[in-house]
This record gives sequence, C-alpha cells and structure tokens, in this order.
Amino acid sequence: VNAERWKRALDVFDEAIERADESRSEFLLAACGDDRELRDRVERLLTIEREEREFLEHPAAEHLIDALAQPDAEPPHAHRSQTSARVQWPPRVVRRAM
Amino acid sequence: MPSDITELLVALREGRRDAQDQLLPLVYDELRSLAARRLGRAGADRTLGPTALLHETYLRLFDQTRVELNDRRHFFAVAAIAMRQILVDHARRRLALKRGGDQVRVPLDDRDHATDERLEEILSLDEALVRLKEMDERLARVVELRYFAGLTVDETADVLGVTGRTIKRDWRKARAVLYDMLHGPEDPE
Repeated sequence: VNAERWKRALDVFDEAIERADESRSEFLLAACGDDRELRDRVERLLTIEREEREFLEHPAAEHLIDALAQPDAEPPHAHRSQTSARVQWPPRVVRRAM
Repeated sequence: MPSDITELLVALREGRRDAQDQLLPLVYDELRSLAARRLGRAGADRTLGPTALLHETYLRLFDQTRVELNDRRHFFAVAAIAMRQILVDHARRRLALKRGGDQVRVPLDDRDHATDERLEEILSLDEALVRLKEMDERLARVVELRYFAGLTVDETADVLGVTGRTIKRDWRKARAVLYDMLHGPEDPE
C-alpha cells in the first residue's frame, strides 16, 4: 500500500464531502488536477460513503458477551505473574502497542 | 493485587510502554472472569453491554484513590486491544468449528448465515486494520475503539483527547478506506 497516496486521497475525500454537490466536481478538478489515479480513488471513496451506509454500523463489541462466554476460550497464559504474562502472551498483540 | 496493577497504570502514565504489555493479560483475565460471574447468575445477564463491562473492569482492577482522570483513557486504549483479541479469537474458533470436517452438517438458516458473515467481517477487519495503522495510526485506533470496544463517538473522543467532530470525520474516512481495502480493486503494488 502506498500510504502517502492513500493519505492524500483521504484528505481530498474529507474535504470534498464537506462541500455541496454543485461545487464538488469543481473542487475535485482543482484538488486532483490531472492525477487520474487520485481522482478515481476519491470518487470510489465518495461512492462508498453514499452507498454503503450499513458497513461497520454494528460494532463487533456486540459479540463480546458471546465471546467471553465460551468455556474453551482461555488464552495460553498459565500464570498471572507479571513477568510470565508478558512473555507468554501472544507477541502479535505486543507488536500492536500504540 | 489492585495496588500492583495500579502501579502499572501509573507506569503507563509515565510513558513506559512495557507497562502496557504487562497490563494487557491482566485486563483480559478480568474481563473474562467478570463476564463469567455475570453469566453464571440465574437468568444470565446477556444485556451487559461492552461499555458497562469495561467500566466495571476498570473499577475492579484499580485502586480508585490513586488513579487520575487520564488513567482511564490509558486503560480504555489497552482494554480495546484486549477486546479486539478476544473477538478475533472467538470469530476464528467459531468459524473453524463450523468448517470442521467431522461435524455433522446441519442446514444453515438465515440467522446462522448472518452470524457467519459477522464473524468473517471481524477477521477481515482485523487484518485490514494492520494496513490502516501503517497508513494512519489514529484512524486505526478510532476503529479499534469504536468497532472492537464498542465506544461511542464521545467516549472515543475522550480516550484520544480530540473533539467529537474530529472522531466523526476520522470514522468516515476509516470506514470508506476499509471498505475499499476489503471490496475495492487491488492496489497496484
């Protein structure tokens, strides 16, 4: 993924959406110039915003009680001691640290 | 125990990242045991919402005389990671069970089908979030807090220390880009 390209597309999308329909295409023309790829990307995002209203409307958190109720759901950390917990918990999560 | 854990929260306040690694399994355990106690009661309390569960976990884990206002934010950020992990594990296990070869096949009704779609959404979202985080870390955190921890716009704004309006805009951007990642054309790279 080209992160910078995406960030730019998101910024243009964010601004475009704040504009009235009439002035939007003018704004897009000015913001994207002859960068066709950027323009396509922003148009795609605008279509998603308009048509996919249901996407992510129901948080996964709604399933939390079901997930916690699973009897076989213990993670593989055996002890609560702070040092062992740190080593044993899946490293995948640790990497996600903010 | 509560005083040790509160120490970790204090360490987190002081910017020690290892404190988060240590706090994570403790929060995970407490969420589980709290849910087990609630579900064990007669008429199992399935109405317990995620936010209520998080608040209760926070009150139980930490010495409330020693925490500061900011600590609650740090806690929610860590708890959201724990919840994401719990939900992803759950989705993975449920789907694996259904696809298990030895199981007697039962016809799926519409509700089952809808649930499967939700479980698959959780897994694909988890993967897409890793990519989103490389692109824009705050957008990924907003989705983690709202989608995986079930926080409202205002609660998310409070945890991240920005305005509700910023969260709404972030959410809109994150939603669109995640949808495109999952359903749009492949990136030419």
